[in-house]
Amino acid sequence: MNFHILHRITAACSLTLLLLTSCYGDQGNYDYKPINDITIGGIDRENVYVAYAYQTTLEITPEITSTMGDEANYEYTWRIIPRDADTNKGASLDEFIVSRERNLVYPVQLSDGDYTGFFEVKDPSTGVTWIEDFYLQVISQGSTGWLVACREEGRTRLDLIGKDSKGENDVLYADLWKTVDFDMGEPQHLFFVGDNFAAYLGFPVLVTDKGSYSINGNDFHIGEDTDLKWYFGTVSDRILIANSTIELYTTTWVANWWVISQEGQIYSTECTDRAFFSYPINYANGQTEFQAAPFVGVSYTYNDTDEDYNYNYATIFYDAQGRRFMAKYGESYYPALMQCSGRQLFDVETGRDMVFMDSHYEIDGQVVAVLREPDSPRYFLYGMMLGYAKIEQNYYGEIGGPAADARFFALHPSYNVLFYATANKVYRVNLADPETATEVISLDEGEEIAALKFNKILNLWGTPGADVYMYNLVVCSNKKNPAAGEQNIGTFRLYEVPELANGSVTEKTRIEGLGEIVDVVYKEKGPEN
Amino acid sequence: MRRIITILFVFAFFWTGCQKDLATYQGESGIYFDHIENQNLLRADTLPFAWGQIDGDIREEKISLKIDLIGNVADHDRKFRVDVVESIVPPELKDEMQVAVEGVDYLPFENECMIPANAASTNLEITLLRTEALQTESRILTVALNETDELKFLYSREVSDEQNNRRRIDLQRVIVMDETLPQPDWWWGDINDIFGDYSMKKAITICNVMEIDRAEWMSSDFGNRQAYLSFVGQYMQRWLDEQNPPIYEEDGETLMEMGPDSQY
Repeated sequence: MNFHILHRITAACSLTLLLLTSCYGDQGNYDYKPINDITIGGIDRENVYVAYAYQTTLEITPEITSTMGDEANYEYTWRIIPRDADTNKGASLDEFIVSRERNLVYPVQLSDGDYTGFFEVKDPSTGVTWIEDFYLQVISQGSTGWLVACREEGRTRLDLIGKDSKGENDVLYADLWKTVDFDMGEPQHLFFVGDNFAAYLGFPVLVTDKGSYSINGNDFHIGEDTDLKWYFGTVSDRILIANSTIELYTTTWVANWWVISQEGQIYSTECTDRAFFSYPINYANGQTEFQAAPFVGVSYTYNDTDEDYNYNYATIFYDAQGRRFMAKYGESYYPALMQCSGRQLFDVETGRDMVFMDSHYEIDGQVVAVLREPDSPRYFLYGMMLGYAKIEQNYYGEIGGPAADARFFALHPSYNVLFYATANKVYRVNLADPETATEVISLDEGEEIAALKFNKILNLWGTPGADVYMYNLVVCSNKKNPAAGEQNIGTFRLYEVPELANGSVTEKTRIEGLGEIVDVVYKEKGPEN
Repeated sequence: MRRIITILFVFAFFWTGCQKDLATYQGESGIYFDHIENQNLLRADTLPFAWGQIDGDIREEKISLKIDLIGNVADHDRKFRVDVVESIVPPELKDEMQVAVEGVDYLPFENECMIPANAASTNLEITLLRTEALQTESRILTVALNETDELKFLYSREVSDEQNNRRRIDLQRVIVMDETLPQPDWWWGDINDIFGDYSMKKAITICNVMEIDRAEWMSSDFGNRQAYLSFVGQYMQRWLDEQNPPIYEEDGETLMEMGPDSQY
């Protein structure tokens, strides 16, 4: 083919193509609408945020600028995700949400480790979401504070009242076990097990309707592996603890851990990391089994020792069915009917039901019990002084005031003063004059007292400042008639107690918004932290 | 420039002068029983096997005797035999030691062994059996190497007897098995108050009844668990009280019982 002919054909085709395209109608939409553009500032992406677990409240106030749209309508989500989170192993994004507020105020409830945080801003009018990330390192320093066991839909909600980042103000760390996949059951009691040097043991114990569990470590671990049944040689299924008491000074110079089960069996073992409970000892003189009331009277001080400086104090129990005081003296293995030396103020075979017994912390060997007359609203106070392998009686009398309505009792650790609580009031009784009861606290009618106690601090040197708490009266209450579905109905209060009998108590701390409170205990530093 | 080249030549000359030809072993090869592994247990050619330190429900256990090569590895397998030979029971032990019987005290094992190609050792595995007879008598089993043209007896440690007769001890192994459970080093003082006087039968009974791993039982740390041991003592005393017929000590006359702290 001639080159010129080919050239003409190409030119003709190009011209035709040009003419055809000119006939094509433009179907494009040129009705442009501006979209919202959000910029997130105020989040430090250059540095790592550092927080102390259960001690720091992470506060981030982001700066949000938008080209249009109303910030009030935006939806906010804060997620903090462990670096090693694995969605292939069941982790879902929702479980990492820590706040849906614009500004993050988050009491850090995370175990130590590295995390990535995400702040998401969603404009619901367009569905567009903007995300800013940041890095967080969580460090454990040892978590101490008030542990509060709350009842919530068949499970235990564990709340912690700890300090803020500066160690000044009390902060509520709510529902520590929110993501724990373990059916621990509904709470009944909280105890703390430890010795006075935190040398061997130091953990809180939660008793539920399903068992008794230690709460381990700085991340408050609970699970099948912390079931206290593993501490018992004769228990195979579960152990339901009614009382756990630490006797600091013993003949072996190692603290003793007393446990009374809900079946009334008395167990004891050394309070060390090698603790192990053998057979129960609730046999009078080793012969006749008795059912022990859930109380133990011990000495928390050590002034009265024998010539070898053995802390050979007697220990008091109570035969719930035989309605009589029992005691274990010196080297004896089994309890026997309590024998008191000196003046006799009361018959040790009381015929009454024990509702309370506790031991002074600072008065050497002082034990106080409250017994109720069967089928009667009358309550009686019994005072006993433990000595070296002996017991003396030093208080006795009927308790005055509305004692018939008493629900809880608490013995001051250093004053000769007993408190008792009715539905929403607290009364003080002097041991020497129990018939006179003075009202010291009156809560709102809409509140109902759920716990009343003086919390003994076993390791006075372990947690600086915590020893002060021992002398504060703890009063926990719940809303009497919460709205349907309302869960944060609990209030925790601490009261300072004056020495003078007629002095009024002063509210020192009040934390609201807890769950339905059942019991409270102070978590001291243990050997782990 | 020329001077530099000269220096380099001289340096290279001296460097090559330092090289050595490595003289490798060119002689024969041999075999012997290893004496490094199990050296803590091995007494001359005798390897004790304490069934007493193994949980009572384990009835057979495999042991492995390592046979080492001396000489060069080869590019082919080299076979040899290991035979059961006559065991010599010391006269003073005739009442308490018997020669092990194949099928009763140990399972038949493969006599044909070999040092595989390119290997410097092999293992002879023998399955030992636990019988009731071991409660009263130990069993002795002797296995000996056989030399071949390729694998000769070139090396062994030697011992001398009182008559100064020398004996090569790494050409055979004497396995002596019994039910010995030695007294743990923690069984004294307060533990005597819990368990009473030590006897091997009592220790074995405790381990069997309480399902205690015997290796753990023998560890020093086990004795520190005093609270647990107190429970064990009380449990065992109650268990002994329930036995009919009662359990006696090794003498057949003394009733087995725990210490005074376990009588509650």
